[in-house]
Amino acid sequence: MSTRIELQEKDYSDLFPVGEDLQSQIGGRRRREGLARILFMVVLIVAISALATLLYTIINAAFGMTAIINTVEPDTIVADVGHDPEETGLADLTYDELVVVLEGSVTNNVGRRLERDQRFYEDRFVFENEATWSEICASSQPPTGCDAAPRDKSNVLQLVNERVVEPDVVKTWELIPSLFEREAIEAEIRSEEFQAANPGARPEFRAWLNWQFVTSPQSPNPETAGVRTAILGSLWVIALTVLFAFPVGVGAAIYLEEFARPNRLNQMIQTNINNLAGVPSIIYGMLGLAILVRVLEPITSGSFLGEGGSATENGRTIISAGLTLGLLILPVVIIASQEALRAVPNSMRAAGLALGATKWQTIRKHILPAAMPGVLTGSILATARALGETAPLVVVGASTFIITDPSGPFSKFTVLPIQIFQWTSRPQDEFRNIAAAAILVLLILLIVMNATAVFLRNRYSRSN
Amino acid sequence: MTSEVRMSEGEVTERVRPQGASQSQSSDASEVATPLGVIVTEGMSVYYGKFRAVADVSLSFATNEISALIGPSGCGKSTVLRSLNRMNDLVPGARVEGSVRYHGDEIYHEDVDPVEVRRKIGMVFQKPNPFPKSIFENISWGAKVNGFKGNKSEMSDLVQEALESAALWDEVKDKLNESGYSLSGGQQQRLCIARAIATKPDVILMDEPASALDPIATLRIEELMLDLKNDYSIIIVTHNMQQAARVSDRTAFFNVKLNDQGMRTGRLVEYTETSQLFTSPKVQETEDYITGRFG
Amino acid sequence: MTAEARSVAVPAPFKKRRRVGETLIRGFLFACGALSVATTVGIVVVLSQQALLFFLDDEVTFAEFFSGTSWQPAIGQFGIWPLVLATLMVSVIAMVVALPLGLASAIYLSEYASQRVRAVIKPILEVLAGIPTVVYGYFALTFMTPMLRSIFGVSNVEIFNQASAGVVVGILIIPLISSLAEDALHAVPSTLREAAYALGATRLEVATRVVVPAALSGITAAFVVAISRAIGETMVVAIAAGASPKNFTFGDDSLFGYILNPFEAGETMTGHIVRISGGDVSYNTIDYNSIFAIGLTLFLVTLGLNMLSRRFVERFREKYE
Repeated sequence: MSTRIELQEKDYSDLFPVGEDLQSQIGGRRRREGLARILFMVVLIVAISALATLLYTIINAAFGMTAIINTVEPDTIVADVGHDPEETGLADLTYDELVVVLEGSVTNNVGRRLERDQRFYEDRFVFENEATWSEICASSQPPTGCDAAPRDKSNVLQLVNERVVEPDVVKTWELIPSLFEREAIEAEIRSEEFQAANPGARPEFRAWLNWQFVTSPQSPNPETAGVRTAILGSLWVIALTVLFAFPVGVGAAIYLEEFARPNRLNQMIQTNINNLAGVPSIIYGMLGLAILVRVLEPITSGSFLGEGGSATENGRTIISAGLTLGLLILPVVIIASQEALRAVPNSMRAAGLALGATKWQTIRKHILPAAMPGVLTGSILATARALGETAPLVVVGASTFIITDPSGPFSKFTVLPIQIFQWTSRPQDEFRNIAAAAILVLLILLIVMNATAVFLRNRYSRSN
Repeated sequence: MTSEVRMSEGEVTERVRPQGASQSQSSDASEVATPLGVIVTEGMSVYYGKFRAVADVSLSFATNEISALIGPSGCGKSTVLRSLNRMNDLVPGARVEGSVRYHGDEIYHEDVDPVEVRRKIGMVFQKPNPFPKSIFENISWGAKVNGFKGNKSEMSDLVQEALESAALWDEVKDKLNESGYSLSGGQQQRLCIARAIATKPDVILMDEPASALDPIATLRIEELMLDLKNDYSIIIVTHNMQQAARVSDRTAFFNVKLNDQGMRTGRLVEYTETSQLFTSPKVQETEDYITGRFG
Repeated sequence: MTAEARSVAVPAPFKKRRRVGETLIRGFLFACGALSVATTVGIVVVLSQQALLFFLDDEVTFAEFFSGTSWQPAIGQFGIWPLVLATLMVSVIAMVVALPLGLASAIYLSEYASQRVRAVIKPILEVLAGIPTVVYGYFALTFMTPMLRSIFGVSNVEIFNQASAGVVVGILIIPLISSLAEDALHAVPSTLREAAYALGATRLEVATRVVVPAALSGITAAFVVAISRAIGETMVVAIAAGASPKNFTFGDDSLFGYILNPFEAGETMTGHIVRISGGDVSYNTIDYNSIFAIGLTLFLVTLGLNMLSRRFVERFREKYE
């Protein structure tokens, strides 16, 4: 008791700051508060500027001035064919005109080789003749042109570019300098010393990302290379990924949320899925390599269907890639779908069952449609992630150089991110430029996918 | 506290408007000039965005007394309480008009930092909310943040005194390092009271402090309140009329009124000594409420 | 009563009908769920099997693998430390960048920011999170490396270096930490904040002395997940960090000038796997099997980290439920 009185008589006022002391204490705290706010602002600015710098770096490299030497100027070619170069560009020429140009410019040997890789016409030959053709196609190692579809315009246009125009970019500039110092750059290109080192070079503003870039197949020359093969490869692979991961993922989510009893086995499955979501993507690539490419080679190479037969046929095909990525995004799809299903109120389930519907009927007709916006959003986001994946597909075995478009699930493939990876890894400057252009294509595809996700989500939630 | 007072016509001695002079329904019905109140509001209205939650409240809370705010739910009593220590500042869109003065100083003056207000006007909440720290740290936290200059043993004394004042010391003196969550609901609430006391405030606001507790714990809290009023001024909000009757010296009755636009605004109906309010209230509404005709 | 009830036939409408369709569907759905288990089993079996082949080879010993500091398959040296060290170096740099920035961003978004600011910042963070890692790799090589070289000197910073990759991996991870930490902070009940404000605390004091300590296990879980992500990151390091293992010997090589120098090139575990498997590698060679041994190590480490982070999340949930 006495302690209590003692303590109560103790005046704590000398232990708490008062008067001026108090003001300075509060002032100090207020200053710290202000400082903290500034620090937070700095952090956010760093985050925003990181994104801005990244986009800036890419756009800066995808457009800019070049010093370019063409062996034959496109305008000359156009004029030779009989058109006015002011009105018509090389890309505006017809297929036949382009073939004629090619015919007149390349040697017969080169021409025959080109035709054997891929024909120009279904019904007639440009460099080969009927007899030799049947002979070589009947041999034990027929060239690819025997079976493949004939070339299309962007293909031939690229050939003309590569073999006739033969553009050679000797120096590139970034976009910002190109816009603001254009005269200085042009002067530099036209200067004597520059012309001495690079005769015939002329200045040209080049948008490395242009329609030709998107439609041309791959090529070892950065000036004429395009991302068509890669884009088509990506689309094929993603299609298979979705075809596999969506039904299986949603199915697993339905099982876990609606059917599974909370016993040990199901808990283990759930934990397992959560763990899988955190496994590095390259491990999935190794899984795909070992099982899909090697063990299941007869299936994934298509040989069980009688396809292939060429010595280079193996399991490094689109279907292997698609299934590998499917396994990769499967845990993400499952978790997102589970959350969407969980958000559906239980009253809906009770109502369905009370009306005499079976569990599956209730799910199919009521629960799943209600959960669909969330399921779709999650799946599309997972698919967008798969679109950008590189490492697992390198491991599974994307082709390092492939120029023919994929024709089916059993084709060899390359995908857009891998194309970017390869081009970025090359030392020459021009590869930097087309890598940036390819990145822009990839980012645009991703934006479209994400926008679709948002759109579908809004549309579905409105109709509900 | 800074010195500028906003409402120029207010003198330091507060006098509540005498009853006869008021024509409007919204003025309070107190009749005596109370002694200098520790907190005095005049014409205080609280808005959340466009919605006027409470209108035109003029009250004077006396020192070393327990004042209770009662009324049906939605009448704005909690809003009024939270305005007294600027806790409503934390709600985006909240706005206070009118004057709220603590020892004569306007607390909503633009130069006043709410931090300063809250050291002197503490608060205990409806659901006990101790920090996920040890019992000792729960009490010492507030003191440290407010610049406690003492050494370790002086801090221990402070903690002990706070716990004793909250009638909790004997129960926890052997387990000061255990988590605050290891206590029962009633003990946690007393811990929160001890925590509020440790910063040596002047006024303690309590927002339905016993409504989440069982009757025995409630009783202990009420005993504690009566004990504490010797050192602090206490203002409580309670939905339990009997509680107000048991502990408070003065009671204010609030009610919801529908205005012509259909908005429900809380208004002060009557504020007087507790014994008077519960035996012979001046306003019919008050009588209807305490006899249970609505609520 | 029961005996009689049993002898009465079950009325027709209530008989349990065999719904074959339902059973089939149920089976299919279960198979979908079980496929995930098959995936894990597959990963473990594949990695272990090939790794075993690797270790069974005469050229390789466990001891050398786990303690050797030189990885040169051409001359039969298989010490994993050069790769592990590079992985650690990149991850540590990444965490040094990402932890403070991510946590600060989370605190700001959770405790300070108004709805309008959040509506701007959160989408930006989501965009950063959605950019493919190969694009970050490009950024590391074409922007970060030149910048580091101009700051620290061209002779001090190699063209391929771990610091550049580390910083960019850090930037990559910031959105991850920010969103996980923000979830943890958000889960702290508002009543705790109110109590702290009522004691006269400033916003910073409430945030750092009440909310963050209360959310600590959740925040720790976020950190652990981020570390796991940094370790498993592949493309940024494959492009920017280096394309050959940085072999070293203690004693011969300077510790801070070479071994622990972030401005040197160094191939990480993931970068090595990608390089070897992207080239010409024939099955059943020791080179092929070696990448599985590395992969197994990687898998076990990230699995361990993820399980650890789950433990922290459990502890966090227990507190507030």
